Amino acid sequence: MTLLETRNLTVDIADVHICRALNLSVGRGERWALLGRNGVGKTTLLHAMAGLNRPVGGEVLVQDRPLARWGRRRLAQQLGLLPQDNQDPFPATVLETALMGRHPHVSPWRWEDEDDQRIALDALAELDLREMTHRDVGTLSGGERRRVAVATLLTQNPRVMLLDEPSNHLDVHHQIDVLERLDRHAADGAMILATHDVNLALRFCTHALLLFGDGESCHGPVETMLEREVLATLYRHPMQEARTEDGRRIFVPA
Amino acid sequence: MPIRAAITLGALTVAAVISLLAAAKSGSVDVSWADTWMALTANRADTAATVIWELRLPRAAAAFITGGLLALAGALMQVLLRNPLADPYVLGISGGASVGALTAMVLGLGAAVVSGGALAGALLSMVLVFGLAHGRGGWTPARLLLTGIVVASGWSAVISFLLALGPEHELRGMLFWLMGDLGHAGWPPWRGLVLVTGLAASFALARPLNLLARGELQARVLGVAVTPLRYALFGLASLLTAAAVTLAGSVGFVGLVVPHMLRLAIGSDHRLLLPGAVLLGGTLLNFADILARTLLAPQQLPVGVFSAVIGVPLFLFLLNRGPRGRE
Repeated sequence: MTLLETRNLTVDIADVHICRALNLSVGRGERWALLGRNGVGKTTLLHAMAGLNRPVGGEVLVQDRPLARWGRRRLAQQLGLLPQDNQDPFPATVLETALMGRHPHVSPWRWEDEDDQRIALDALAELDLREMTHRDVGTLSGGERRRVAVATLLTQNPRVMLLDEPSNHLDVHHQIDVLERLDRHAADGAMILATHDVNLALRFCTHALLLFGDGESCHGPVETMLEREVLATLYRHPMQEARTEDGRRIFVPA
Repeated sequence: MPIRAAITLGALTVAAVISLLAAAKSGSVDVSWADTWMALTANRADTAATVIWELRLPRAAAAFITGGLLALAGALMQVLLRNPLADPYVLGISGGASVGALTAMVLGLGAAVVSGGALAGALLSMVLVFGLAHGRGGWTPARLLLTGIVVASGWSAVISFLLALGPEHELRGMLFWLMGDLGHAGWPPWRGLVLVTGLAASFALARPLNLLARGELQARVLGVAVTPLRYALFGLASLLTAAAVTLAGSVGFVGLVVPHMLRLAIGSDHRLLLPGAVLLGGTLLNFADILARTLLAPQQLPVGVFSAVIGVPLFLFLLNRGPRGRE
């Protein structure tokens, strides 16, 4: 089943072409990496897929239905986005922040009940945040705040997860830990993650979508897409390939 | 509902009732607690009952409603602009109202015209800011805030002009109006209605408000239709402010600080914050008004002076104690 599809999708931002007539089909259980240089439009493309901005041409379909025909609330039950950063101008606790994820599931006239609380607490526990549920988010470190954002997304529990640099601010342990949890969650759904970490993409993703700038893009299974020359062109920087002790391929900049 | 928040709301309700009783008792005519109670409960027609029913309670109601309106408008405005420093006046509503009211005073027109002029000025300012901020580029909080601040500065220039122009015998009244004064507020029934409907409407928006406070992006991906919500917020906050300003002039401080006091005490959940703001704003302004009319009695001072006198130390105490959850 196709969970997310783009048909002839063309996205621009301020005279920069991000993709031209992109046809992409993301099926159940697929993990996509979205790679490209700074400013090539990864975030804007993710936002277009989430229906947050209007594409120049083409359309995005979620479960075979065009975005325009989804209500915002119903869509939020199926599709979630982890924003690149979070802002908290007003004080709020970690638990309150995670509970926001229940918003699309709780009908407008109801309060979150014990089930909602439990879902949020489980998500926080998964991300090692059980001890700080009553801390103010303003007192957290960058990495802890990032994990709260991931916990909010897990509380929302969408089938399709669009992740904008999920490993930002995380130490190596939590990078792997968070990605493993997201990966497990995506088994029944799908995820698309924008990242600069090629090795993380190699480790967790099944497919890759590369944005070269000026509307050029290519996509396919991760083994065929992530090659030394392709990456060198993508990043305009020579790359070296190596093997780890347990035999995995890794790339490092030369 | 968290227990702590329920207790806080309960305590605020009790405080509100106490403030109304205190307002009924205090004043230049000495009335004992027993007589106050008798006048309130029994149907009597002596001096105490007349003073309480005809003078003090209407004024207490006006103070309470003004405080409630301003605190609620302030809470909404802070979310709309995503700026903790926003208050009900930041978008120029009170500036427009002041120009309308002062113009009526300069022309020597009666209290009803002053109030009507204030309402007309507030609505004019609201339409002006809405139209100007809603340019081709859409409606970002930053653009709205800048437009509002510029329009407000424009109004304050006109206010200075009107003050320079005003006849000597009107100046005192004009200054009192600008500082916020309940001396001329009559029974305020329609503002009470505005307060109740405003609270009900904003309560219905409370959960989406919680999300909008975290940013437009976060709110939209979690299923909030942000644009209509922003329009609703702008309309609500402006009308609440207009209702308050036409009742008592530009009473400062309540709208800025009451929402923050509650955030420090019970957190940022607007389902608790909004009713709490109405109760606390009303109570605070009521006590301020008791001080304003008793401290130098029989002389009456503008209530705007005392809302800050009570609010500043209270706010600093809460700030110093630290927000909850920062243990």
